[in-house]
Amino acid sequence: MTTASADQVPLRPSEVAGAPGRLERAELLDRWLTSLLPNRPGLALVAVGGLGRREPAPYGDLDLILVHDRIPDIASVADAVWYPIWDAGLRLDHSVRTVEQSVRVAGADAVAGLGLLDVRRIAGDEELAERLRHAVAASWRAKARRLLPLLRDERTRRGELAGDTAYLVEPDLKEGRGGMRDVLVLRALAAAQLSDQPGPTVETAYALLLDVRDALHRSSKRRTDVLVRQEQIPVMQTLGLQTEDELLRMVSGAARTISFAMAAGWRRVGTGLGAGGGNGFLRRRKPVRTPLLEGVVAHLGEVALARGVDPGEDPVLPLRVAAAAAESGLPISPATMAVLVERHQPLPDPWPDAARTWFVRLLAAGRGIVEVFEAFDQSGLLQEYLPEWQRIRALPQRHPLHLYTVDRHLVETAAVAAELTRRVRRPDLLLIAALLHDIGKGGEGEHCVEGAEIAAPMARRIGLDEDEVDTITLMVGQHLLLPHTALRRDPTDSATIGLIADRIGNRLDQLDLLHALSEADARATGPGVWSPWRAHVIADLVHHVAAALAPDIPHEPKTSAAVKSQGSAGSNEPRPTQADDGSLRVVLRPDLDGFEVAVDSVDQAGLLSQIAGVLALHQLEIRQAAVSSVGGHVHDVFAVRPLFGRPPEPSLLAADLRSSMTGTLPLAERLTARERAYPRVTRVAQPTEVIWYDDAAAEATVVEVRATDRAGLLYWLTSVFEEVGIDVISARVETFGADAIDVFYLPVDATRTDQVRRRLSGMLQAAAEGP
Amino acid sequence: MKLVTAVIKPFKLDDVKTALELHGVEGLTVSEVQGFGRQRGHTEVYRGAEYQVDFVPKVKIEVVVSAERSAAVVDALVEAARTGQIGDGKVWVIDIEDLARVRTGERGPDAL
Repeated sequence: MTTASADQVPLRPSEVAGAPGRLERAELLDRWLTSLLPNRPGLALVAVGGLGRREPAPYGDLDLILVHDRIPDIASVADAVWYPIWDAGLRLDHSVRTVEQSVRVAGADAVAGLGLLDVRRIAGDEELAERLRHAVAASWRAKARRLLPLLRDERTRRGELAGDTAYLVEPDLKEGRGGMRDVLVLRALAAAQLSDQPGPTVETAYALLLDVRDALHRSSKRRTDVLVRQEQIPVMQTLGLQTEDELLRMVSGAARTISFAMAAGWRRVGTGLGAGGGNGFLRRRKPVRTPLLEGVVAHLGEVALARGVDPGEDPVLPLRVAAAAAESGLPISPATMAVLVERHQPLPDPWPDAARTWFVRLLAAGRGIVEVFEAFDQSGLLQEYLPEWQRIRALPQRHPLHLYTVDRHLVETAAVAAELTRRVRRPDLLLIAALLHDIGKGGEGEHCVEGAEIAAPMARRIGLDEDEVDTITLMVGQHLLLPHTALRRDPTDSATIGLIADRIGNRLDQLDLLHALSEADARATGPGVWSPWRAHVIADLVHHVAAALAPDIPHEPKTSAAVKSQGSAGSNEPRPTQADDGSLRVVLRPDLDGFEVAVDSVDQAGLLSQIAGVLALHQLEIRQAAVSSVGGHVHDVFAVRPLFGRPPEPSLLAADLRSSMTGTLPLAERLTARERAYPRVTRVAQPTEVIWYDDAAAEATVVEVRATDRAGLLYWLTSVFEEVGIDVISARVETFGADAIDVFYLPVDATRTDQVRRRLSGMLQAAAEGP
Repeated sequence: MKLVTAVIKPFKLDDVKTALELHGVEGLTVSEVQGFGRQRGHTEVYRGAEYQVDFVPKVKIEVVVSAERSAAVVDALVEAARTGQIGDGKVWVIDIEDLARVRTGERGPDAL
């Protein structure tokens, strides 16, 4: 059964395209197959698959069933039907069954059951064929509860193999996520009376994919569903389009529509199917609302708004919902999405701190962001927050190494970058640059140059300051600098090193950022692009440049007011509240994105860790901290944000702090218990990095801890110093989305030897990662 | 006909390609390879972390040329790939028995 002989079959008119062509093929095949079947009672030839649906592909298989009423010589009858088909060079999927056997097969195998729903009589006993149709439909309805989970697993598996039809540069039109098979599944859900028939938009999308697949068959003269690059030009010409990009954008648009309907379809038939779904399929469960983030809960396996939360009052809420969904890996409930779209408030330009924080935290969530971006894209919110996204939306890549459309590549790059945040001083800038690095594609000019111009105002709108905007611009503009230079210039040559150093403004932090971005970009491009070979060549170059640059030293914390004051001046500024008993003063002052807590006290050993612990105990997330001690007096300032609801009264904080100082409050125990009660949602697991610096400060050794942020992180880290009896001279703590970078200044004498440092590094790592 | 194989430093690929084109070479095969020669592996210290470099990344070039052109091609290749430093690589030449162009089925020198 070679394709060459299939050409000779007079059943494949090659010139008629689209739906009329499919009907014509179906009629010709019907007529020919009818001529093959002997006219006997109790015998019928029925078609499933493409011919069953009257849409056979030009080089598709024939899926035929010979149905019979227990005819004794059925084997010889079947031979008489099948052989001419084989002889004609057609691919044939055949079976010979009674109605009862068919129903048994359909009831045992979800995929077979799905196929049988398309059964159509071609020739023979009408009553028998009709009996079969009714029996399989009834069986499907009766067994849907058991079969659908199997079908869903099968689709998930196939979808993982074939990838997303919407984003691949060589999309699988049939089996990919958002491919034609998904529409058949949607129809099957409707046939089981579990959801409505797919709407006209889905059916239009399906017809479009059929047209593309037919054109693909005709130009490749093969039975294939993957729109490979070399066939894209002939297919585009057959369909009367101007460019391959137009073709791929059409396919992408159709696949997105289908995918989105499919996801909604599965959710409708059984909430709780996603993470933690298990046997909750199709069964009503008692709804449990688990708080995820302020105003956001997990409910029946979806992310939803907490009761009484109004998007109209909180412009940042959609971003918090996005972060919660990405971190938990749960889909956003369609109802929640609809409310967000309808009621959300536009973000001011530039975005407030809170918006940027949640946005970065969303990006830091890793794989989970792919689905969130899709949901935001479908709802139009993404284009509203990032209007520039429109230019690269569903834009195909014209490079053989690329697997995905530009928009998906950007999201993938951010997802990979989330695994590399430990390598850089500014995880937030890495993530934002990863998301924007190819934003210049699709224009006329060089995409790095155009991208830098587009990225700068975006970064400013996101709320970065000018220095940060410069870094983003540099990274987007130079994201190919390292790979290109590494492959074209001698890494040991001082001219090469000088060139790179010059481009990155002699800054080691920028070099680290570019290095991480290069890796994320390559790994998100396609398999094998970031080969050990390539990684090595680039690392070699980075190594040579790094050696030539001045050591990178964390900035010394300022003694006070190191925490950016975010409170706006004005008459309606909320008044600070405080508790003061002479020896201990706690001041709580609201700022735009939470609160500032200032603690003044007489110094005592372990005070910093106790303050950090008390703040964590009161569900306050420490975003920034600057601590200093002068002449036995401590002045520590923390920027905090309540995890849920309102912050506590300062007097409560002061009281807890006093009991902790006198040893009557078992902080470690209480925090451990709390952590057990509120397990963190899953995140990209990266090992904690501990980096020592000798020359950072005249009177101190500096240690930098890069870790995943968690409740009480600062408490656990500072407890280490308390345990080994080292006084922290000063500290600076910053969180970037989900990552925390904590820098501690320690006495030189206590931390001189490698042995001490290794021990401390180990303890800090263990403390940061927790149980 | 000869098969000229060269293992060179990755960043020299563009220079070598240009030099070979000047010598009328119309096609070549490039692979990313790793290995070591007399230069051996070495130990690098990067940001406090030591790592052993057992194999050094190189590019391997393969080009098929007629026997009379092979010496000139080797010269051009060596010239273009040289930095004068350790690890510049090697070039070797071996005889080819037969050659076929897949598309047309041409054999021997016609397939060059």
